[in-house]
Amino acid sequence: MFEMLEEIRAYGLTSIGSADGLEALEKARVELLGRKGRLTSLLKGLGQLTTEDRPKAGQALNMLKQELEAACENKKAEIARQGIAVRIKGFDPSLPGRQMHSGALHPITQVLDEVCSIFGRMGFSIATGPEVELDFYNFEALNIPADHPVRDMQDTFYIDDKVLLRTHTSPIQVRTMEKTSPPLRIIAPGKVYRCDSDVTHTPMFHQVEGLMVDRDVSFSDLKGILTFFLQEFFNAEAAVRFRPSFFPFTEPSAEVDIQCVICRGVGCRVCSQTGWLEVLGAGMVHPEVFRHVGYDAEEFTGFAFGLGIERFSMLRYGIDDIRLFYENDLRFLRQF
Amino acid sequence: MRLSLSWLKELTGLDIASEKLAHDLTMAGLEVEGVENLNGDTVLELSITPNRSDCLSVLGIAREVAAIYGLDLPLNLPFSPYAELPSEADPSFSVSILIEEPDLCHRYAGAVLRGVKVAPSPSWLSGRLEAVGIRPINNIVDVTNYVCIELGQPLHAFDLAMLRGPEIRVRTAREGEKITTLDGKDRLLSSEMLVIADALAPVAVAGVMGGSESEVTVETQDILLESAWFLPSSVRKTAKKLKLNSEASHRFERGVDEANALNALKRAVTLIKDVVECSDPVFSDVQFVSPERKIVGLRPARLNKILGISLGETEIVEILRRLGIKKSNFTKHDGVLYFDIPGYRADIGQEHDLVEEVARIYGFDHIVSTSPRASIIAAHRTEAEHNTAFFSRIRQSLVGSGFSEAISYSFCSKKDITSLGFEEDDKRNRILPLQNPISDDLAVMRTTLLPNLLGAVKRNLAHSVTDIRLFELGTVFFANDSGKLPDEEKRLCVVWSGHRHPVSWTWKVEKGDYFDLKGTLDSLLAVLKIQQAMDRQGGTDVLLRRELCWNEHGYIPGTALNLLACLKDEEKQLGTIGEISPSVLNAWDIGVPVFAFDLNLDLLASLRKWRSGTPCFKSLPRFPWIERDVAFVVKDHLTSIEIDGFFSANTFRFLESYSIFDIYQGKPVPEGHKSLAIRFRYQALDHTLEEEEIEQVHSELVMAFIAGFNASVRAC
Repeated sequence: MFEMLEEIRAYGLTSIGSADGLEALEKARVELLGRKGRLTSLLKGLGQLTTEDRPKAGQALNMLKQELEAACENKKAEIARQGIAVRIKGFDPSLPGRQMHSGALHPITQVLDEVCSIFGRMGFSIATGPEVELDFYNFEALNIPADHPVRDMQDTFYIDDKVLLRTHTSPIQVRTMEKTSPPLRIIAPGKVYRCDSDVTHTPMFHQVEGLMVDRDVSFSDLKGILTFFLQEFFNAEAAVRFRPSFFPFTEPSAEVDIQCVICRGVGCRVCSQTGWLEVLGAGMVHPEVFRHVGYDAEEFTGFAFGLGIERFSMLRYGIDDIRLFYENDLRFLRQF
Repeated sequence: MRLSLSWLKELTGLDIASEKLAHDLTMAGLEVEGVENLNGDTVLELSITPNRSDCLSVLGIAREVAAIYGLDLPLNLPFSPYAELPSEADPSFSVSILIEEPDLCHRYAGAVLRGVKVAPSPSWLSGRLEAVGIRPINNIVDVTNYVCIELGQPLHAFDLAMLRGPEIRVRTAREGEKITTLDGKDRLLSSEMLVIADALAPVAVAGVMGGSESEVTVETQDILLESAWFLPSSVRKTAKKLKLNSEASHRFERGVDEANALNALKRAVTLIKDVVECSDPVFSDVQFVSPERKIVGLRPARLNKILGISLGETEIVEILRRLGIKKSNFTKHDGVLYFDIPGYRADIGQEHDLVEEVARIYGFDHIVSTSPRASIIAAHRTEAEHNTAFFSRIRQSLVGSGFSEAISYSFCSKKDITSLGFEEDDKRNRILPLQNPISDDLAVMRTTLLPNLLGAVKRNLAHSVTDIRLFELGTVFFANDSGKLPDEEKRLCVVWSGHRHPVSWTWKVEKGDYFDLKGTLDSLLAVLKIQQAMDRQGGTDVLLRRELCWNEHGYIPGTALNLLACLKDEEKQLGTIGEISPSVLNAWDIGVPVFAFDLNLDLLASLRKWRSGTPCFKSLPRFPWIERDVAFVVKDHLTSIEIDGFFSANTFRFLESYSIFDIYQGKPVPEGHKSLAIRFRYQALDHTLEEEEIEQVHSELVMAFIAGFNASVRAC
């Protein structure tokens, strides 16, 4: 009995050790430890032994069984290791993966979304309107009468005497106020058109206009909101300044400058050595505009502002030619 | 407006560094755009906003400077020995002046000087003009320009000998009258234009430009100087119509100070007497309409409310006093402060205007930034916000599929649209032309997004970018009757050209085809859950229908597919997908295949109907599905549309879905036929399907399919 055990042990360890794959190993395991395996047969023969010998033989058998099982496990792990070693031979995990073509959102869309979301957090809702507008909404209702030099501020594309391409998104203010009673807070993004085309102007560009009307809105609030917005968009430390200007639909009116984001105010080519960049136009809504939409200018005050998305995008990404936005060159578009 | 600092100093006595002055003027609303050193003088380039006509002169800026620095008024106004002269017409004045249109010309003052010797100006005079960008001509004309810059009153000098009568008639032009203006151009006048005429014909376009016939030349002996006031809107209309802008029209159309006309005339005469010997002047001043005294009220509380500050009455009155706006002796004891507005401030007429003046001089910098105390506005999500969110999902989906977003101009050339050859009644032929386009290439509003995207394809190819995936979300415009707004429609257009995948070591590079783009469209509609939204809205009443398209211009007939949305009784075209036809590509010089699709986003958004479009949850099946594959031989023109139609018209028990997984043509499949391999998936919701159950329904299905399409089974 014990000699047989020794023989099985020697035979088993050899056959397990020499197995050259998982299949051979399994064959060896079944031959030794399977239901009809040699060790199992011995185990079945235990009954024939004397009660004296039985525990000793049983113990020896179990030990051998455990030893062979462990040998199988070890061999299995070894085979797995060898398999991986074969598989990784020459494998280069740093090669580029199977990539699909990649696309990108237009930088204008990205900046437009961000601007709208900053104002969205301050409770401004989005409003839109037609791109081809009536003279009334684009000019008259905004206190820009016909035959007045203020019309020269915006070179206009005309369809006919009454219809034109909107030169700003301000008509949306008027259309919204006609339909909504105050208080209100809106932001009006969209395409606008001016009859102008050179290195720094394109005949179409994007604007965001904002309007806030409430019972107690002042110029100092306008300063607060726009300073927050500019610092949130550009740089929390950048200085912001307001200086008097003129728009027919606001009074007082202001141009808003931010400390140059390129040179931090030292003076560079982008800011024409002034250290300041003009980025926004703003002001307190002109009572004449309120009169056109039937708002009570005594009870309500409001402010409005407008900005050009191209300008913001150029400053954010360092783009130096506005015309690139509309050439749809994929080498450009994919950079953003 | 160019401002000479030495000139300014003459009027203000102020000696100040140009950088500081430039900064302070800018912060008061007179933006300095450039500083230039010129022959020992410094010249500031100022951008004057259209409301501040009073600042189009050295005097006007001097007033601003006085207000900014709190200098004491009056300014050192140029001395004139004629200041005390009476302004009514002198009987010895030899020209009869007749204002026929007193509404358009409130005042016409003239001075006659005889025996002038016209010659080049002395250098102090010509130098100053050159510094501010005006070309010196001769001593007489130069003086008129000098006074215009200095005091803001445009003047004109006539050669008196050339005025027939001698007579000045301020009248409107007669239809068909002509004049040759000083720039040498012949101008046809029309009846709404105000002119200065002599006894016979126009000699100047009022407030715009003089005529060359009565021009002052070296031959001139006697002159008539004109200093007048013309109605701004009339001058503007005339200048616009003649497309003629001058220093004079620029000022008149913004408004000059009526009260200043005679002073300016006297100043000019003084200067002429300084530079040339001539007779003593004779003045005349015809004025029908005297300027009204303008009084504007201001409530301090209102001012403080608008600006968010707290200024007292005294401070307000002081700031306005510095601007030359004095507290009026007019008062109503109603808590309102009343102010007399000087004639040169045409821009001030209301309380708001005074608020702005106070804010400007007080300094925007001194107004602190605050957070508004505002109402919470419980607003519904706006239509625009719904659309923004919807469009954003479309963009994200397409970017995920490898497309980059394009933005093109909303205009294109008319040919771009007509070359697509739409049917006569196609709304894309309702082209909206611009009256004043930048160029022929940008002359009309686009009625389709395709042309400008093809332009982008062409440009990319020119840069050797051959894998092109672009999409654009934009508005197209369909013209309506004149005077009415066009219909605007939001559309999506996607163009595709090049390889299926980027070059990689791991696969062979393959040309893309129609089904690459079709996959993008199918994925997009799946992501947007359009079908689910439609199912929920109205079951079978609402559906997305496809039809082969043989007439969609721009696409190769037969390669294109129309998508139609059926809503109750109405069917609307949602869009088209296909391969762009070679004739169109030729027009853009594109030599590679381009695939495109185009969708009506307004319609798509309305199908999506936000709330009702929320997907409806279905319980997950608890029992496994079983699949069966069959290869049918069918006629080669059988379309997927017909197969889908068959399965929606016939119901088969347990059939959960089916998909075509192989299509084969060629031997041994007979000519004119194709083999379609379809995988059918069967599933029961309440039990695991038994072999026999499946066999039964599957063979029924196969038999029905064979019968329905005259098909045969090739393999199963």
